[in-house]
Amino acid sequence: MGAFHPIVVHFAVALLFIGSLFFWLTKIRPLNFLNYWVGPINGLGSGIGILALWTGWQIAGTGYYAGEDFESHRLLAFAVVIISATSTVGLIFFRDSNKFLDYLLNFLFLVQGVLIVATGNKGGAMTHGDKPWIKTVKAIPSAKISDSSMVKFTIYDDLIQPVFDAKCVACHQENNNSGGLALINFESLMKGGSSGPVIEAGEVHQSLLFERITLDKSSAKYMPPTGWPLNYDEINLIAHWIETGAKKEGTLLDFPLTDVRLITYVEEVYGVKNGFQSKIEKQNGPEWTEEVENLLLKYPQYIQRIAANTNWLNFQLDSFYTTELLKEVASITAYIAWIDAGNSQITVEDFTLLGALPNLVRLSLDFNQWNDAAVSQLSAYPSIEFLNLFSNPVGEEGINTLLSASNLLKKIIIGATNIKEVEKSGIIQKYPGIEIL
Amino acid sequence: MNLLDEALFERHQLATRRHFLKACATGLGSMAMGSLLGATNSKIPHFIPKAKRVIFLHMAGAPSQLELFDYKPLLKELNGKDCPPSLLEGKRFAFISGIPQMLGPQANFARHGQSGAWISDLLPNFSKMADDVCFLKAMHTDEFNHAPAQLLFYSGSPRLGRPSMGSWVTYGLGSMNENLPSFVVLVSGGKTPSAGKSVWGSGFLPSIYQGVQCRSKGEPVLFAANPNGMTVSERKKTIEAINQINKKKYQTFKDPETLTRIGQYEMAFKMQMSVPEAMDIKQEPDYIHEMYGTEPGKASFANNCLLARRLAERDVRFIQLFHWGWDSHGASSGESLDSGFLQRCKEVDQPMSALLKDLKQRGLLDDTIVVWGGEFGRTPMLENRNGVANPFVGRDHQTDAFTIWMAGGGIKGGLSFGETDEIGYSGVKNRVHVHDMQATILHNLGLNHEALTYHFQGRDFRLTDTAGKVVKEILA
Repeated sequence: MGAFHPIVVHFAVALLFIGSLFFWLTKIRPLNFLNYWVGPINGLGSGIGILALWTGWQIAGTGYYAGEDFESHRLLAFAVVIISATSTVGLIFFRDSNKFLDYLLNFLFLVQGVLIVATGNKGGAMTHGDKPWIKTVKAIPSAKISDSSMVKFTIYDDLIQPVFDAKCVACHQENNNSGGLALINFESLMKGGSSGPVIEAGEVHQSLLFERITLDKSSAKYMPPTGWPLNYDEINLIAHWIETGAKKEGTLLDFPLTDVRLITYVEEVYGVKNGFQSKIEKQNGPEWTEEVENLLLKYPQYIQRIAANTNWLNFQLDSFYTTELLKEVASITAYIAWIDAGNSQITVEDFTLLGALPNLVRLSLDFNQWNDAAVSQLSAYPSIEFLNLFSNPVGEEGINTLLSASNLLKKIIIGATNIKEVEKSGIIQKYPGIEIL
Repeated sequence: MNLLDEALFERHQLATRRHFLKACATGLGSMAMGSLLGATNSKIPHFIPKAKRVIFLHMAGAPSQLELFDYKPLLKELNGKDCPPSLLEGKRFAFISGIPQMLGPQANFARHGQSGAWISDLLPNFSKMADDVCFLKAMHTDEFNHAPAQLLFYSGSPRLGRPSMGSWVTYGLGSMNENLPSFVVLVSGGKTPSAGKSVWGSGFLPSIYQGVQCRSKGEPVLFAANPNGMTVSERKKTIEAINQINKKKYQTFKDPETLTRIGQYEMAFKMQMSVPEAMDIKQEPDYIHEMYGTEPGKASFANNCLLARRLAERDVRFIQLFHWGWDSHGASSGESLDSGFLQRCKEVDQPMSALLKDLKQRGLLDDTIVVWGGEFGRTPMLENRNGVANPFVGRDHQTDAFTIWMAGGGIKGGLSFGETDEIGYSGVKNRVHVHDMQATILHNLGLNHEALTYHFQGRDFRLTDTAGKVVKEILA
């Protein structure tokens, strides 16, 4: 029955609070309704409080909780039940009988309120750590981070600690009788418990923690003994973390996941994209203006919306393009994310007519006549992620100028250019972060 | 609403719609025509696509996964032993009857690439591409005969009448090229697939979305060239006249098939110019021919692979290759694992690897999904047709486990997804149904397979029918 303790407790607390609220309201305006209900509600709260005492007793019997917080929580809870019962009796039988008793009643309700807060505080400290009122409880599904790139996702704090927060820290606090092991942060985990360290970096099956969470559930040593057990994916996550050295620092990029199921799990539960995500997948682009809509209707063969759920545009050029077209498109340059100008014979002069192109992520210039000078000018477009220069008369120099200036470029195609194989392997070595084909 | 009411309602709906179209003949009617005949009939995908086009390499007849990708050492030990009856209970085979013997792998396997994918020595060129490819090793299907299995593979239903995958894709995304059909089919191996042209048919979709079969030898499209004495301008005038008559017919009857016909005439005229150019592989430099092993003027899988790349470059949306001769039962030398199968492997190994390599070096693999596979797999048992051993070594049809591979277009490279049991008899982990594969291909093209529907005979139809789940695990 111990599992019902939290429900019962909060029910009792709610009733006692409503009782107190009604009591103080009668001091301002003695409405019939309030006068009638204040006694029964407070009484019911007190009665359920007794039930809460009993369920709490069941939990205490498991022996997982001990220490100062636990003792005070128990004492205070007794006090709450006694005071609230007394105040109810006083309310029903001795109200308005004399001034002294009325003062006493006021005092009792005051004490009742203070005691409830204090009891709750101590109870919270046992399950949620010190100062629970300023701490938010981290449950796994809410651990999603807004910027879902793996670069920012640290292996311990974002991946492992939320599992402990959800399944372990309710018992494994500093002062609890939980084998001396606290799982509140990396340092406390590494300190281990009364039987020594619980994590052996790199050795999953030598790690006591891993052993205890993977024992048979009927075993007395299986963890967690009550509540939801760790699921298959959480166990695998912990195994991955131990295997890769049980580090505190470092991101998922440093310790890449290899198991397909685990990747999918992390992607879904933590909202992390395990792989490269283009800028236009993270943002929807600026809202369309009338100008954008007009141009889309005017040049359907050249400008298309990339997808129905995004504002980004694709600009598809062929060899029949005109400079007027480019000048007109220049007015909506912020919306353009993809340009396919393959085999369009566009010159760099014409291309610059398009203006700044701050959101251009994908540029295909294959089968054109762009040389070193022309390609170096592409460094003016900072957000390009994919660039296709297949079959252009560009040499090593132009590519080097471009690559040294761009920081978002992920992939560049330089086949059938003037770059020799030797030069190509040199470039590949020089820029390890960029896929060069 | 009872059936009668429903029928009346439908009739009223139709009547009003026809009236509406007629009333504004210059409005709605011409608008529909405009979109059908417009320069680029481009439509918007549901979400940002990873790929723009698909190249499907279909090994018609179903190649044996146990000789190519699904390595089973235990099967080697069991070679020649009788198949335990427990494996045969409740199973249906095309030919196996009585108690067959187990058949070990007929090729040597090794791990390739950084990913360590198992590939047999029958595909020496392809094994170098292991890290670009995602193997789906626990594919399964519902049909154990070629025609229905191919129909299921391409149209989502084993029965005739549904649109094929290429038709759905062009219906959903429109064309990217005004001069070429957006769905092109190339056939090699001397035989069209068992399910016939339905595997590239448009079913109940307007027939403008059906695949156009091009021949790789001789004239690419039959009867597209002008006869002697007919000039281009004369041809143009003829087609314009025919189209004007057809447009008048359309105004009267509002049959969308008339629009299709008008579109086809215009397309045919454009194709007279563009198709011979696109299909002329003689324009390719020597090193490309060497890479693919192509010989201009021959009808071969190699030529078709090179053509596929040329068409992909020209933004053809869906390119479908069929190569016949993979039905290795062992009943004849041409269709046996010890002879015909080896020949087929030789025919496809170099060109398909070259295609991947070529697409990759041109930056085309980033937005092109390449899929390779057959309509089902083959049994771990030696086929004993009518209970008697076949003259050659072969395996029967099998639905529970087969391997296909996918590459490019937002598919994770260097991944082997799914596992079969110790003898490759059925998938045990990460199984992927044919409908799931279809859903995944549509997904990477930016289409939600549940939202891409067409209303026909009173309900919305879709490629994956009522099933299909995107295989998120293999997405890059």
